[in-house]
Amino acid sequence: MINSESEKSNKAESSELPLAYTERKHVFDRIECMFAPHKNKKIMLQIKEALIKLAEEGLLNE
Amino acid sequence: MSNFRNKISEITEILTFPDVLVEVNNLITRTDTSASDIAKVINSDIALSTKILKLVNSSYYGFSKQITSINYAIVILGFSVVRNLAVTIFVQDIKSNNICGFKSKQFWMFSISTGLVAQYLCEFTQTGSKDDAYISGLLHDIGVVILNQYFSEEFTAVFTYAQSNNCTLLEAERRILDFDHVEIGSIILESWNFPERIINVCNNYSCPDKVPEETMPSIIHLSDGFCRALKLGNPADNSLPELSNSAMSRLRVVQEDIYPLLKKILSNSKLINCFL
Repeated sequence: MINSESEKSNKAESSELPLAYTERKHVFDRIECMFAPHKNKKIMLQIKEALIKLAEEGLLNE
Repeated sequence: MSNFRNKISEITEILTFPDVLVEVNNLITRTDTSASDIAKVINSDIALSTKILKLVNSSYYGFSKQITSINYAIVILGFSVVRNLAVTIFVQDIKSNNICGFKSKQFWMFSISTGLVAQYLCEFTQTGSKDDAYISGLLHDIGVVILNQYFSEEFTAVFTYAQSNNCTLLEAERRILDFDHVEIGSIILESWNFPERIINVCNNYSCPDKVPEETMPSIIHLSDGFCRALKLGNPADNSLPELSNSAMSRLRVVQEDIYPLLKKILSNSKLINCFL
């Protein structure tokens, strides 16, 4: 019962995610991975933000 | 280190710059050279002239009428652009080993992208020469190909280190070798008689703050980083070096510029394939 409740909750959460995210999860994962060594570096965070925006718009496909 | 010196000296004997390009470079530096002088030299190499014309007529340039002669191409595009196209064709023919997933085509796509992005950054920031920007971007990592082809054991060790430590090839080279691909590239470009200013850019693009009075190393530094971030080709490692705040300030690129800049680069990226 607990499992199915939790499954339902996960399903609900994932259906609320923007389509661009679910479709391009690998792109967002790559961005996270690429910027992991640069936490707290202002300029790198600015570039990361720009890349995420491009990925959300579906422009960054790879 | 003496082994390295001996080997690199042998490499410069083998990997010579083509006579046609040497001659073209000599002609470009003279003030009395005409388009037909350069065309005559390029036309002596049929394979090269055919490839140049194919590139000139590609969708990258998008001319409405076909350019049928090298002479006309020079008149329209200029000496330096045609010479840069010839260099682009030549470097892609340099042999490389298929080790550690290194793919020559992907590597050159990254290098050509860096050159084209550098040209765009010149325009955007109204700084520097677009011709220098392209050739510096194209050749900034030439040492990687030489390392891959002629120092394959070292390349494998460096690649493995970079993968397991999530760092760039350059960082790995500096940690485990007595030399690095920047030094190799510098020696090769010198043997090919490239001007000191281009060699300096290739030497300093990874740390542009060492030469704060110059803008071109900063342009290549950012172009290299943007191409890595946008995954335009593959520089042989998947990491992104930290970009310099000072390089951005030097070029007066502000936070608000980053998104439109990357978007513009991305929108033109399909045309890069014309160069491969």
